[in-house]
Formats: sequence, structure tokens, C-alpha cells
Amino acid sequence: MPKINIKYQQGELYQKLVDEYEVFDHYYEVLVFLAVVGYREDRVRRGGLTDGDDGKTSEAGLQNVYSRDLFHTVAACLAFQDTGDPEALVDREEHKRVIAEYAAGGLEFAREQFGQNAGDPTDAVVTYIKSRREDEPDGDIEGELKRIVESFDDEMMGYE
Amino acid sequence: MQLRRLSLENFRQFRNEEIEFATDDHANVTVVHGSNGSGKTTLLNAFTWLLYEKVDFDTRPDRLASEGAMAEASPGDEVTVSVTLEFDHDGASYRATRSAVYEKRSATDFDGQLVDDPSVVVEYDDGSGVTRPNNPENVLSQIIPERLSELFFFDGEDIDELAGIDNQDQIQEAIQNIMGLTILERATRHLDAVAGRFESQVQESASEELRELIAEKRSVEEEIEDFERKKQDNERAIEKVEEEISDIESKLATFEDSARLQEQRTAYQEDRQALEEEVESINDEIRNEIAENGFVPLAMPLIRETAADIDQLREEGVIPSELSDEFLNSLLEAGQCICGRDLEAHSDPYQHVASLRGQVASDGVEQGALRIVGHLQQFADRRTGFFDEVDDLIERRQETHEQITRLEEKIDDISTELQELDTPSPDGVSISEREAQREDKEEQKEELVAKRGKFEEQIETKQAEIDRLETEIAAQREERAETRLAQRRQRAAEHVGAQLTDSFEQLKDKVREWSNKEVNETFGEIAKKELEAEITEDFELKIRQQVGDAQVEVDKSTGERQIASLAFVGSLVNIARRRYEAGSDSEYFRGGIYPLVMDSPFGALDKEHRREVSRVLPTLASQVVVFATDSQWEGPVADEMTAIAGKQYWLDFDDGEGSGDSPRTHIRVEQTSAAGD
Repeated sequence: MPKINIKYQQGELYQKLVDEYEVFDHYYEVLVFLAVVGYREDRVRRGGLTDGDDGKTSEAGLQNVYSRDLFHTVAACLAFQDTGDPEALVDREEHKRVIAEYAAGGLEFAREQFGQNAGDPTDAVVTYIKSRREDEPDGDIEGELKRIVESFDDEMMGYE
Repeated sequence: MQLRRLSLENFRQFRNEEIEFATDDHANVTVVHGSNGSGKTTLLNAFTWLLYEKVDFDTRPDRLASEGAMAEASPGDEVTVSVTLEFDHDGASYRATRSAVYEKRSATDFDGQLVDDPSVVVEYDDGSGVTRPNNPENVLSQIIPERLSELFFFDGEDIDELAGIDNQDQIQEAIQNIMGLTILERATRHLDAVAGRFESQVQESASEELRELIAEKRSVEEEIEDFERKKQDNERAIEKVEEEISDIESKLATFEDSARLQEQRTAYQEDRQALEEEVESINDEIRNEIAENGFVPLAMPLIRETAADIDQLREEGVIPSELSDEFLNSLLEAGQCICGRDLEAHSDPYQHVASLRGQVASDGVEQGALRIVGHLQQFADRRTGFFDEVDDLIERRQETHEQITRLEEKIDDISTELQELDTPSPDGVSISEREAQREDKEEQKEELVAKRGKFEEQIETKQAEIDRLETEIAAQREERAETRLAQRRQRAAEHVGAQLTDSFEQLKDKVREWSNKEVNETFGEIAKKELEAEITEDFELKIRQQVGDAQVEVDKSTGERQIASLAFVGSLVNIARRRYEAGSDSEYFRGGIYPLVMDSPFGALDKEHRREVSRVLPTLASQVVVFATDSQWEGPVADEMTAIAGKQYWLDFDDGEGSGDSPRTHIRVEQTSAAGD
């Protein structure tokens, strides 16, 4: 399988989150995290570059993203939602593209949200994640996902 | 270029005439006899109109179409004017036709209105069939450039100008033209443009800005060094204060009254440190949780929307599906559905089954969708897990912070107790004084630590500034690299330009020398023996006379100047031909075969000179066309040229006054009437 690299915008926030305060262990973790933030906040940068002063780009292997099941799932979901095409679920090029584009949008948002303050950003990140919790009552999500999983199970088992 | 045939259609006074040119090596002269006004100059113009769409008529310059043809036409009729030249060049036979269409607008309109701009068509055949190039103008211009044409198609009455007083420019130009100056001009122009472009890049160079940036960076670096020094001093001060505190505490631990409190304090301090480490480890766990699962809660809308879409696909039967396009196709081909129903083409059941094709997902998509469904539970679990875990960690951290606060209160209490002990210690300082000193030191330490934080912050800010400056400097340096490259390229372009000009100048001088030799010989053959013509280093065509030992420049008569000029032109034609025949591969001067087409070249010459010119010119050019009046022709010219005149024509001009017709010239191969002056 040919190696696919995601070329992405790497702001100072990456260094801060990985090298300086070790909130994340790897840059690709920040990349996926920010891609999720980008989608969540409806911030996407087509072409994958932000206007920020730190116009540095870097590359991360798509394999790294795939190495974690839930990261892989996120990439597939992003591609599907972005294109509306089920084929995008398994289209590596689309995965690569949407990760870079949403991560760039997420980077912009994250800079505004918790990138400005000096010092350890850990609590700011936690505060941000918790602030989004109220949007979705815990029970609703679990119930809905459970229902969908069961529907599939039933169908696969031939109950329908 | 060897001329074959010139055909004229409605071109001025020529209605439908043609001239075949003499091509025999030993009879290479074509003579066109004509009285003044019979159309000799018009013939010369026919060449220039065909080749370059240029004409130079003394009378009615705008009228190109034959007056007779216009007179015969009815209003609204179109009259085509054309000139066709057939010639050989470089082993191919060419046929070039320029034509223009005029419309007669009214009964009294004899000029006509140009309908289409004149256009030229060139066809050539080099043995591989007829080719009609798309750029006929260029083809002609390459065969005989316009500037060169002035040398070879000329009015003899003006030719003496070459040997005029201020003739250097013309002589030089003629030499340059025959060498193919255009190549040099084009190259030089391009090189100039290129050098200019590079130069402006150099001028736009941001070296000044770069120097400023580097200076700024240096100054920021100095500030950082300054802060670093202050921070180091500060750290030494902190160490010193800590030692002092430690000394005081050691002493307090030795005194009986304070020993218990001091030991208690040390224990509390150790506990506090452990709790602080605990906080740090909780923070690590929070970070781990963020790295592992922080994205999960945020991803929930994405996951839920996707799950709902996939569920929709399931409801629509797209996934999971046992149906594949391949399977559906096999049913359609077999003509029977799995339910047993016949599937006749175009029937409703057929259409239904056919419509299912393309709806089913490919294997990959189905697997991808099922993988997502397979992970939904994990998302839900981890989302809950994340919040539970983080909430728990934050609570633990909070508790630890509270423990720390409580310990600090206890430590403060100990300090208060100690300060209340007035017991003098053996060294004369009371325990309370000592503890007060310790408190002072603690305060000092706190201040110093706060200061250290400020220094660190300042250093961080300055470091960010350095990073920014370094990025800018790197960008500038890159530009500088481009600048240096541009400079080198500019110099290279200038160098190449200079080399080109230089080698062209050298070659030009060589051609001048060749020409000088030729002119001298030719002139010597024609002119009186004591006269010599030369092309000086300054490109002047001069005639000198040998007076005793000295050569004196003499005032030239019109005739002598004309001879010198003809000798010069003849020399160029000859040099070009020799260069061509030698197969020169020079960039500039490949040479070529050029005919000499001369209108009245003997005008100002006396009989003897006419004879010499007539004798010498046909030896210089491969082909000579002479337009002459009878008086120019008769006598010595006829004597010399009749034998080598392969073709002779007479222009038979009828002004039409007798018959009421329009003026018209016939070109006849036999003399029908005297062509007077």
C-alpha cells in the first residue's frame, strides 16, 4: 500500500501541545483532535491552510491516523459528511484531504479558544471539551447509537 | 533567389502581362526597354508590392487597379489586382501571388474601393509536393528581407547617393543588411530586455531590509542574554535564600524548645511536596485522557450524524446487501427474477430489477460503513468514560489542592508558634527573632521566584520575537539568493550581448574588407585608371586619385559616384553569392543568391562608363534585370549586353487618347515601335 502523507498546517499550537506541555504525545493526535474541533465548530479551511502568521506546514502519515480505530472512524465519517458520498468512507485521498482541511479550521478555532494564554493549556482544553458536553444530553446519544447498532445487528442476524 | 516569371493582372497600366526572366548562366540579363512613363518604375514596384506590399509611385499613388479594368467594369463589379512571381530558391520552386480586390462604386469611379486587404499566397515545391505555408509574409521576408531588397531592387537614378558625402550610415547599413542584421538585432534586443529584467530584480533587492532585520535580531538576542543573566542571578539568590532558610531551620531543630515544631514543620513540608507531585501526576493523567479520548466527546455530532446516515442507507437496503450489480445483471440476462417472475426486457419487473443496479454499495463501502457501526458503541462508551475519568481526576486534584492548603495553614501555625517563643537560644538570638528572619527569607524567596517567572516570561516573549525575525530573515535571504542569481544572470546576458555584438562587428569589418577589395577591383575596371574606390574603416565609400606618391580624395562627378555605388552593390551581391556557395554556417551571414533589378542604371554615365558598367555588373550578380530607355541602351550598353541578354521585352504604352481608351501598357517580346526617351 503506497504511503499517503497528509500535508497539514502546523501552527505553534502543535509545539505547545506536544513538545512544551506534553498534552499530546504525537503531532498526528493533535491533527485528528483539531480536525474533530474543526467539524464540531463548523470551521473548515479548504486547501488546508490558515491565515495565521505561523504558515509552517508539516506532514503526517495517514497510516498513523489509521493505526487507531477511532481515528480511522473519524476520518471516514468526516469524508462521508463532507462529500455526502458513501464511497468517501473508504477513499483514502478524501480522508487525507478532509483531515487537513478540518484540522486547519480547527487550528484557527483552537488558537482563539486556548492558544492565546501563556502557560499550561491542559485545563483550557478540558474546559473547552466539557463546555460542549451540555449540547448533548448523555442519555440521548447512547440511546440513539445503541438503537442504530441494534438495527444493524438485527439485520445481520436476519431478524428483519 | 532566381527569378523565373513575373505576371501582372490589372496592376496599374498592365492588364494581363508577363515577363519571363533570363536564367541562362551565360545570358543572365533580362532587358526591359521602355520610354519614360511606359511603366518601368511600375514594374519595379510590382516586385516590392508583391514582396512587401510597398509601392512608390510618383503619380496617383493610391491607384493600384488598372484604370482600363475599372472603366470596363460596371458599378458593383469587383476588379482583382494581382502580381505573381515565380522563382527558385534553395532548391525549391516558388510561386508567390499577392492580390487585392477593388469594387467599382459608381460609373465615374476609376480608383475603386478596396474590398479586402491585399493578401499574399506562397506555394513551393522542393520535390516533395506543393506546400502552402501559413505564414507567407515571413517566408518571403526570409528569402529576401525588405531591407536587403533596397539593395537589389533599385532606381539607378538614386544609386549615386551611396557614394555621397555622408554615406557611412548607408554603406554600413547595406553591409549589415546583407549580413542578416535582424538576427543580431533580435538577439541584442532580447538580451537587453533580459538583462533589464534581471537588473530590476537586483534593484528590488531587499538587502537594506535584511540588514535591518539582522540588526534587530541581534538586539533582541542581547536583550535575551540580559534577561538570562538576570535570571541566573535570580536563581543564585533563590539558592542562597533557600540555604539561609535551611540554616535557620537546622538551628531551630537543634534548640530544645523549637525542635519539635521544626520537625513537625519539616514533615508537613514533605507532605506538601508529595501532594504537589500528586497534582502533577493527576495533570499527567488528565493529559493522557485528553490525548486518548479528548476528541471523542467533540466527535459525537459527527459520529451521530454519520451513524444516522448509515442507518438510512440500511433502511433503504443499500447496506448491508447481498445484491451486487453483477448478480442483478445475471438475473436480467437469465430473464428471470429470484422470485420466479419473468423479466422481459422493458417490462415493469425488468425495469424494477434494473433500477436496483448502482444502488447497492460496493464491498469496500459496505465494510467501511459496518466498521463505523462496529465502533459506535466504543464512541459512546469512551465519551462517557472520558467525562467520568476527567471529572474524577479534577475532583481528586481539587481535593489534593485542599490538602495542600490545609498543610500550608499548619505550617503557618507552626511559624506563628515559633515567633511567640521568646526563649533565647545559646547563641543569643531568640527563637522568635530567628523565625522572623526565616519568614523574611521566605518572603524574599517568594519575591525572587515571582521575579524568576517574569524573567522566564520575558525570555519566552523575546524568543518568539527571534523566531519571527528568523523566519523573515530566512525569507529575505532566499530573496537575496534570487538577487544574486539575478545579478549573475544579468551579467551573463550582458556578456553574451557584448560577445554577439563583438563578433558581429568583427565579421562586419571583414565583410567591409572584402567589399573594399571588390569595389576597388570593380571600380578599377570601370573607372579611369588613376582613380581608386575604397570603403574606409569608417564605412565611407571614397574615390581617391593617385597624385604622385599620395592618394588624394577627389570630388566625384555624379557618374563616378554612380559607378562607385554600383560597384559597391555589385560587390555585396557577389560576396553574398560566394558566401552562400561556400556553404557558410555562420549565424549571421549565410549569404544568398540575389538578382539585381535596376531601373535606369546608366542615367548619369558617359558612353565609356556605360560600357564598363554593362560589362562588369552581369559578372557580379547571378541574374540582372535592367530597365532602360532606348537612349540608355543604344550604343555601348547594347554592344556589351545584347549577347548576354537572354530575354528582351519592350513596353508598348498606349495612352489611349486616340481611341478614347484608358492608358495601357503591353509587354511585347519584339520591338514594335521606338521606345523613346
